[in-house]
Amino acid sequence: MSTPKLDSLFRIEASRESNGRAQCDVRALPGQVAPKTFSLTAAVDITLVRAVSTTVQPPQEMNGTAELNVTYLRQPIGTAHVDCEVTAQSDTVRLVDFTVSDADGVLARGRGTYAMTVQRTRHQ
Amino acid sequence: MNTQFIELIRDWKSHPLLVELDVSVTELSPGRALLTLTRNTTNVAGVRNSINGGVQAAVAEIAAHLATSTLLEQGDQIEFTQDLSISYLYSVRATTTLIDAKVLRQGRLTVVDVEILVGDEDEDSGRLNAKVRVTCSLGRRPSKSVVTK
Repeated sequence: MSTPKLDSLFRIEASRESNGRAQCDVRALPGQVAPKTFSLTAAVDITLVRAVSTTVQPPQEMNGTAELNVTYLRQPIGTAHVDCEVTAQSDTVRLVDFTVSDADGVLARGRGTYAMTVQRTRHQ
Repeated sequence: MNTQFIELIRDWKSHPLLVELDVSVTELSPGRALLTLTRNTTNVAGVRNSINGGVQAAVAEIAAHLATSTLLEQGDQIEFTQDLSISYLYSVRATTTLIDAKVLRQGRLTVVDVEILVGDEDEDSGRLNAKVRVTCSLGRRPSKSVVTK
């Protein structure tokens, strides 16, 4: 799942994804010393979708994020790291747990629910 | 409203992120902030040609901070977002989208309700696209100590 303009805007870098897991780094916006939480919130949703995209098996199709809950324990310091992992799945839903951390350790945790659809083939 | 937010609104157009996402402040009143997000080639990055969910959540968080800032007392500041929950109900495909943030509870933990709605220019104007709840942690800015001889 490619979102180059948003990646650049929210300073999302070093994205990588495979086998139900996706990670990225989020840097501070120009003039700031650490990323704002709204940048991390955006990065979490974008990375969550990337993690889900690695688990899609036809005839399943991605349908959109249904729920996202994030709890921040403190403000970030410096570059933050987002790590999303698909922890449970069915034909219609993916559960994704995620952690946001920085040099001082975990700064946020949360969970997302992603909706899937299954394209049924029509028989004549 | 504290100076941090007065400066943000005054210098809104100097923030590339807000300009690129095409977000503007439509209305500010005590405990409320109404933002408008206009569909463009940057913010459309979701399934079914919709506005990206991460963008919706980020703008909702900004709106919540603005609504909170309208009630801040002298010396208070928003430390950080403590919690954000968003339920995406429909894909956001309208020309304009309204982000309406209203403070539900004011205190050290301030709770803000944010609705993401279809804008006035579209057929299904007013339809709720997403519901967000943002909890902000407030703190007092350290006061400058005065040293007297």
